[in-house]
Amino acid sequence: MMSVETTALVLVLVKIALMLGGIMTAAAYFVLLERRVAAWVQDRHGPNRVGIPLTKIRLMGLGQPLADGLKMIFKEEYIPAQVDRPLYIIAPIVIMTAALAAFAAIPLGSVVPEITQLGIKEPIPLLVATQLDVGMLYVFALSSIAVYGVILGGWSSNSKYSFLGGLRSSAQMIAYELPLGLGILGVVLACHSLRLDAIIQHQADSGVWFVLAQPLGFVVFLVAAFAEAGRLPFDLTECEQELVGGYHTEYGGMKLVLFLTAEFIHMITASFLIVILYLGGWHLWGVTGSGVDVGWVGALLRMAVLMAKTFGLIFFFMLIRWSWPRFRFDQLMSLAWKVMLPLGLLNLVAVAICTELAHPSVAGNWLDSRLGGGGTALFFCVAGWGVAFLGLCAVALTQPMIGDNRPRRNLDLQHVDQQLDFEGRPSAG
Amino acid sequence: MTDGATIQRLIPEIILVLGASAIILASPFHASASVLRAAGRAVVLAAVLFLVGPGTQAVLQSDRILFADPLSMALRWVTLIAAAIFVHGGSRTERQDSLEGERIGLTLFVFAGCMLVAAAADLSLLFVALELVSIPTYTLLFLGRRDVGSSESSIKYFLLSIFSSAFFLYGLAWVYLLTGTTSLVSSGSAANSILEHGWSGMWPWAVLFVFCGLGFKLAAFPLHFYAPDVYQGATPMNAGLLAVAPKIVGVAGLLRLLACWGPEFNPAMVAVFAVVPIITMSVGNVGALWQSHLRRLLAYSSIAHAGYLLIGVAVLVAGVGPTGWVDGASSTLMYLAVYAIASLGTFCALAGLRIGGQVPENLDELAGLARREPWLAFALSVFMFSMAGIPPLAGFWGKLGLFTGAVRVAQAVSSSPQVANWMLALAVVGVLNAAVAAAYYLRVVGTLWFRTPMIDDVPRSEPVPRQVAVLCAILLLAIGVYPQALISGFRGAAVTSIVPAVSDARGLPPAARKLAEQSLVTRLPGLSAND
Amino acid sequence: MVDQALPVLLFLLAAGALSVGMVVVGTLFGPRRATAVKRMPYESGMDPIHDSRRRFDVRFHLVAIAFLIFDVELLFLYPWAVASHHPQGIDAAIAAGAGSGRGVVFCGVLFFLGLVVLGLVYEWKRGVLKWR
Repeated sequence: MMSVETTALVLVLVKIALMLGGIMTAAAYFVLLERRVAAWVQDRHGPNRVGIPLTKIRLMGLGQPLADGLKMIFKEEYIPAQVDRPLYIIAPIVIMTAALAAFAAIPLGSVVPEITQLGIKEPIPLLVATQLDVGMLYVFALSSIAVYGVILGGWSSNSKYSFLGGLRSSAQMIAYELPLGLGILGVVLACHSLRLDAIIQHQADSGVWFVLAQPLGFVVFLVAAFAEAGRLPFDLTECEQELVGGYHTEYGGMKLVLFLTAEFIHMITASFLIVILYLGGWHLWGVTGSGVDVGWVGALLRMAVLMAKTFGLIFFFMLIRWSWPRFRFDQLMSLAWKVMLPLGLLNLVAVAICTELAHPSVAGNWLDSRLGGGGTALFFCVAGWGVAFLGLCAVALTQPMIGDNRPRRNLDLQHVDQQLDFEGRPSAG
Repeated sequence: MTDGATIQRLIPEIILVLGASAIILASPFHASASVLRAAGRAVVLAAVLFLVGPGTQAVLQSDRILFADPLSMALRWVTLIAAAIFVHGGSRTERQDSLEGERIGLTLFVFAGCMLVAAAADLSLLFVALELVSIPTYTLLFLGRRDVGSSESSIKYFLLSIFSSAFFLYGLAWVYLLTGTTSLVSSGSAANSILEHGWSGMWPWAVLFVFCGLGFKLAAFPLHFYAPDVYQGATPMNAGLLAVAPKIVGVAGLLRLLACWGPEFNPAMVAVFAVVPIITMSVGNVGALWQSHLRRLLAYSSIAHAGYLLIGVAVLVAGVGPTGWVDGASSTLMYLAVYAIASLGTFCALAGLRIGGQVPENLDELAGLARREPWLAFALSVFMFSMAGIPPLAGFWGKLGLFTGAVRVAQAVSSSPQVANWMLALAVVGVLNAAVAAAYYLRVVGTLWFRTPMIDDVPRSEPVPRQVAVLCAILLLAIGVYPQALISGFRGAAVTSIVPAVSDARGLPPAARKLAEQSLVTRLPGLSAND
Repeated sequence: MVDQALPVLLFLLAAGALSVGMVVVGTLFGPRRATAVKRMPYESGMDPIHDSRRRFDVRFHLVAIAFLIFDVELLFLYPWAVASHHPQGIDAAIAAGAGSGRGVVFCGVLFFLGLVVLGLVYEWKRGVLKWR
């Protein structure tokens, strides 16, 4: 019989192994799914040939990821002559490690019942870092490290395409980190914890998903998550048509695989975060309940609900990719700074005021006595939708994204001078 | 926790910061420059009114964040007067564009930072206040002009200044490490108990780092190299700001830290504090002799004045008893006030001048100014005489206070000949330097009055800077004729602020302190300058 | 503390090992046959001129600085967001006599958010956010 500490350690190691294996497999198969979805959207066949090797069984192309992986392993390891070698090799490792490590704080369900036969006497949380109280900040921090991988890759490649791609994507990622953080702040404020499992538990207990209570925050967070993951319509990091692939133009072989896989993992992380923060995590009304004690059936059901929601979101990501055109860079920046940031601030202020009103010492008791517990929740939901409506109306009326986008050669100099912000100072562009 | 009295005490600073924010925010909304300038003046005026008003009389109870003593009030007054001169006298034609609001607002930030440094009783607040002075200064330098020289000087100042800030912060971190508190008062007593227990290896280094940061602000000897280049590249008003605001900050920080950390009667430390002003003065004055560029000359002169200011600090450090502490602190304050007025007046006058549409750069361009602008030439001459320390003017009393302070300490510490010698050396070198300085100050005056213009064009002045410069000159004359009010005011501030702080830090018993205070206060009225 | 950090540390190590391992595997199995033609920047086309690390648009710096300011400002809000309604948060601190009331804290935060908004307004009007 193992001691308690050893059991805990083994449990952590098993979780890590399962988690990493699961993510890598999922990322590989999502590549296949993406290609099949693309084919479906564009009304053609996707990769559907590779099945079980040495047989003629095709299995809808399920062997494709394996074949791709083998092919990439045996690709020539080519490092261009003028690159900054240490940074060039470190960049994909950094981005991949950070992308994977973010999963340490992401729960994949609620808990699994204790397994006394193996000496585990307490329910097992489906989360690696069970004691980490700053889980949300940890995930946020690690997803920010992706910027480093991108910048390092773009800089070290010594190619203009890579450099421009790295520059653009770093600007994009840092610009959208602010709305992302504002979306997180609203949720954290409402459930006073940075633990992701506590955030799910809070939604399960109240039965009100944050997408219902804070629709504006959801919109902001969703858009920012798309941009952080670098998915269309925000894939200016790569934009094959202009930059030949952006920051990883000069990469090949396994290092390219690391970059591409890391991007898919970012998408998976983003989906998990959206589901956990705003779509109730493993909670589904009338199906999963909200108690802490669940049997095996309940635990598996909750896991299934969480996975289904996440899968749905990933599918949504893919559909968006094949049905939306790409933003122009000025639109991208305008959207981040002039639309998403103000909307995020608006949402945060609204949430702050609502939660402050709901506090017993302010107006909470009064509201409860007038409306009842459910009535109060409904009241704040309605307020949230009202704020979202007002915010989107304000954006529609002010039209911050519409600017003068005529090519510069069509503007006479007088006109250009009038548009400059500082008299007599040449524009930096 | 912050209590109402703290906020009440800070009302002038709050007015300055909020006003500055509002002005900066209004700037991109196409507010007219004259409106913004009027707003800047109104903000400074409001701050002055609240500094005299009842709001700042609130009594602080055991406040860890703010000092509300006469020393901070004296420094805040000096700062606000400098701010008033600066905001009112700033030439309106220096650079006309839509960035006027930023310029005014950032200036107000700088002065608010100076006032906060004077009042800060917490190391973190002290650092934040110091940055409130530094960061707007960088921006102001960049906003000034747009040519290669100004870019170079701005970058130079920016890099060196953040370097010195880093030193300062690093020193503060060590102080915190050693004493376990960010409160100035308790860090002083904690430091002295450390020293008594013999575990003192790191303490001098911490103090050295902190004083390096402040020394940069003052442009004191090893850290003075930036001044000439930066002044030359900056606009006259920016150079004026650099000549005054960092000096106020440096003096405030030095006096406060030395008072709270308790000057030790340690010959080695006295030697350091005496060598720095000696070299600073000499470097500044000798360097200025060869300058033909106006702002370069004034930069070297400001280095020299930093040296004079540090004489007072050295007297404070060497002072064996309350007399020495008060002499050092009060003469430094007096010198700072007089220098601030003379220096700002000079730069205002220069900023208002135009020769062929340009700001005059070289001393030669001022030749014959007295014929076209007699009042301005008169004001400039008063500033030069005052900075040189010619008797009937305010600068004379400033220098006299410093030198007599050094001599008196030299007599008082006859028990330690080394310290006495250093003090005597300070006084002697100071007098010699004053003689050297007179040479180049008189050269400026001579150029204004007696030389014929080299070209036909003679500079003309804007009316407002001329009025402000003349006002400053009259102020200096008034102080020169009747210095007693200012001197005794600063002495009072030093007696009530420095003496208790030093006594606390060095653990003097309350009875002895009371006695010391009383003896000083009773001596005040009979104090003539030659005493 | 060890309980908090150890799983994270192990996960980081495992993730790092996996990433490094993938690169190493690629290096071990991939062939390397560099030829003169293969080493050329473009197989067909002119060699590129200039170093690629050139001066770039100052707007990227502006975005970076703006991000730095706003991000730090938002980070200040996380402690408040957690403590605001936490049972051991602001209420407990006030009950222990640490401050004058919830309203002061709330107004302070709103004032702070107001400053953030003013900063954004200033940047917007000054054209920092404009890309042309």
